[in-house]
Amino acid sequence: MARRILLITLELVAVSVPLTWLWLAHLQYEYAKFFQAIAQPFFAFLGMGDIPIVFRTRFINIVPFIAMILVTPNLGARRKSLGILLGSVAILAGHLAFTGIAGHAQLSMASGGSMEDSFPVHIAGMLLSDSMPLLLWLIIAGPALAQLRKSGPGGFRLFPAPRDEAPEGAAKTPEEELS
Amino acid sequence: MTVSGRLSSVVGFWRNPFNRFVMLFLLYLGVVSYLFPKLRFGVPEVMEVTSEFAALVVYWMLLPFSSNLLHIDAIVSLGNFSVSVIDECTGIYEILIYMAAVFAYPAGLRDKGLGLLMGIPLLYAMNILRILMLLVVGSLFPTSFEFMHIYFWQATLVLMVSSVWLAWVFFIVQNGTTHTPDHA
Repeated sequence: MARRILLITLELVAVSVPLTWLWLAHLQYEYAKFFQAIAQPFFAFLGMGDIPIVFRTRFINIVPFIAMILVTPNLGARRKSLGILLGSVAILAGHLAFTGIAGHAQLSMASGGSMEDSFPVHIAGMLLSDSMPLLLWLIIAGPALAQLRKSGPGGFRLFPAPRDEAPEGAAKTPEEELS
Repeated sequence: MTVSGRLSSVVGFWRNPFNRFVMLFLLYLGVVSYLFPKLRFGVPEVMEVTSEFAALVVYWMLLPFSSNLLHIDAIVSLGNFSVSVIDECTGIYEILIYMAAVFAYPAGLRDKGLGLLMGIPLLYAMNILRILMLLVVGSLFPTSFEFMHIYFWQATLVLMVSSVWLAWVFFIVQNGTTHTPDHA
């Protein structure tokens, strides 16, 4: 297990370092252009055309997401590619949401609001944006993570089975035996 | 769909532990987003002390290896290079995300307590290492600092939180459920 964890960690470094370099050297600029191009009409459509559209360095959170998906063991190529595609769209939506939230906080401060009032909104947007890769990775890689470590009667599950779904091979409760 | 049909689909959605985790995680993120600024502005000294303490720990850790060190408030210098430890560099946001993930996961109170006791110091230590490494890189290889700063900020933030949280689920929560409890 320890050897496996070490290997996965090394793989993560081996994938995330060049990805970060690629992002900073080329992709960030392209993504910023793309983001500006869609954010303007998006907020105008929502009636929030005055929102200041600021591209932030923290939008690099797409990099750890892709790295985590790529190094997750037991995850099929199809799920990986689809996951990266759909996850990236979700992360883009998160960036739009964060821009809207932070822009709204910025506008309210500019119109005389206190920093204390707008800070919680800004923090909420920031935490949500930062934790998006973790949530998306759990959604996409959840089934594969379950096979990382098998133990117990029903095997390892990252999340327990829903109440109406008994784990495979799990011993039945006396009530279930009777029914 | 009838009202009872809608209600049962909501109940069914809530019964799924993963859905419940996501909902509670988002809720707890909202709660900490509301509470953290109260602390930040109510008692600003807390964050000032946290930043200064992080800078001091980095200073202590490097002291045996260099005499060219300086520490003033939340600023540490190594040679001609200085870093200023701001709120975001203290690891507080990683810790808030981790806490939300621990509280949202279906586990007992004891496991959650263990998760916080184990995870918060671990995340803090990882963050101190991050600052230390950035200071050394900035001092020895100034041209690489920008890349390393961004890599060891956002790129590793999620990796740090995810790895500590997964370790907690694997080694504490799941180990507890697979062992036969010692009942008298």
